Amino acid sequence: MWSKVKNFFSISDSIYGVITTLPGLIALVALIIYPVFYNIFVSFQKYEFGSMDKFIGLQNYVSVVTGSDFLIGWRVSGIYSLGTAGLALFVGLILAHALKRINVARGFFRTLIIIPWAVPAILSGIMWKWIFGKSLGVVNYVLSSLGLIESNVGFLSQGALALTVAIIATAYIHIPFITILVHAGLQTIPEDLYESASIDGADEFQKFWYITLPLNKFQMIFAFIIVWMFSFRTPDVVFSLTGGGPGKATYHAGLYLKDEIYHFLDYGQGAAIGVLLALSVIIIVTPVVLYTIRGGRS
Amino acid sequence: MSLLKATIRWIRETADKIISWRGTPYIILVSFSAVLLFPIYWTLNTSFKVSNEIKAWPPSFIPQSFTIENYVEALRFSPIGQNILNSLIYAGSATAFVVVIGVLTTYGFTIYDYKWDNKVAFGFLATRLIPPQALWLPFIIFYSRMGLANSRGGVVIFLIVLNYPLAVWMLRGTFEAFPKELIDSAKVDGASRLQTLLRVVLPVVAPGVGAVSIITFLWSWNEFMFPFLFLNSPGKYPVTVGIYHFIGDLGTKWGPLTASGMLIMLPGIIFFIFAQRYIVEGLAEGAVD
Repeated sequence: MWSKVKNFFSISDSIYGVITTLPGLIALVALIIYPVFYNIFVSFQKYEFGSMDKFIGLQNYVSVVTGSDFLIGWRVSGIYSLGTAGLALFVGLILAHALKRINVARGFFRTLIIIPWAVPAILSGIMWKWIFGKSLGVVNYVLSSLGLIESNVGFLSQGALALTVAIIATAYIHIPFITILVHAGLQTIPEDLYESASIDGADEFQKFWYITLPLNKFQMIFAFIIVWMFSFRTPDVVFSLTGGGPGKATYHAGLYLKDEIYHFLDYGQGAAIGVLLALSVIIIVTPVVLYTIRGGRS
Repeated sequence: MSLLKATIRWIRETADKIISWRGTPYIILVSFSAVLLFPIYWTLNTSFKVSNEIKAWPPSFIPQSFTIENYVEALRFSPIGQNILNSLIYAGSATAFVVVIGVLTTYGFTIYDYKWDNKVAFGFLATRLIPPQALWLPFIIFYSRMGLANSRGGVVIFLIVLNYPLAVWMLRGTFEAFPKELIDSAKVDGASRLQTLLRVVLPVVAPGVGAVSIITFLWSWNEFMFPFLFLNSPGKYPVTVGIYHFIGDLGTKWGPLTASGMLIMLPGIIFFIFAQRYIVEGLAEGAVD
């Protein structure tokens, strides 16, 4: 009996492959692809306060793009994301190289370095807000005991400083990822390349420039673009750190999207912002990722 | 001109000496680790101070008035305890679903080749490029139409959406490293494909699956904005939303706030410390954040 049932259900390997993939694929289409298209559909509708009225073409896009918040949001996100990815890559490179060169306690340091990875973005904002606080912040205390400042600095009440702190608080949670990725890349470079370079009299900078960089270029670009993408679209750190302020100095594109949905209940415009955010990310990230994947293979 | 060149050369040689000195990497690692751990230390430090000491200037680097009052207050007078339970449920359910379906999906297209399998795999990667932020709105609309507004299920579904593509992409790396000969010999031994998965494949890829589970759990645990937008009863908030409301509700009482912060960071930190090898390997194989 059992063998008959078994025979009935016997199928080829490739069909089995299709069948096992199917539930996941359906979930992907139903839960991601369909909502994306639905969002595009909503972006062409007049849809306020929970009622969808009518098709209005590109009107939502026109209102969004001509409004001042769009420029502010995209500008803030742009600077913030480039700053974050740049800072995280810079620190990540230093740490990855340092990790590569030690023999004692490598696992110990690697463990310490990856800990910030586990910190929720929302909490990173809260912690750094406390550290950079004006009247009780420890940074102000350290700077004034060193004699560098005369009175406490309101880091989060001045536009450029607040954006800088936001970049630090965000780079903080991404440094472990970049360090690990670059470190993994460094280990694929054969040691004798460096040895023969040393024999030829190359110094550390030359070794980095002529050996590490060309051979590790793709990992670095890839790590950079991933952190860039996350920072450009995710407003969580900024939200808990400054709430977009002072004024709108740290008004991240994601906060603009959140406000349109949550405070102004304008779903049509919210959808348009969502589409624009997705397009901005995809247009920039796709070519870079394809380039690094192709480069990484050859 | 030659003086300038000589100076530059001297700077460069000195810098080279400093960098190539054996002790330098250790100094760098010690100082950078200190900076990276400082925010967590500072949060911990504040969480053990009484409120007068928190408001004192200069701030003390070690609590002079050691107390666990802030933890008691956080757990007793705020819903943070309930929030922790909620987060466990949300992140746990999402992880269970993502890992079971993810393993099945990945097993299908990596081990049993079919015509479009690479395109399917690439489809999972491509959806990673869609910002989750662009999904907030459609999901809020769907949920309100389907009667899922302000529901726990709604949170779990969104967490699955967030993590599923990454999980599959990471698992793919692990499964593709699996030696196919073992599949063939299991087949010769008469094992069914499901038995092959459970008894032959899973034991080998277990570290990778473990890493994916931990990462999915943590990313779900850390998710903030969607539950913030979507839920409106504090009894259903996950920890991240709970702690955010802590700021407003109490006029930023840093004592209980930092105590709650420690409570919500701790599971992640412990996971990362104990499973870091597998997480690192899993991510290196998936090569995607």
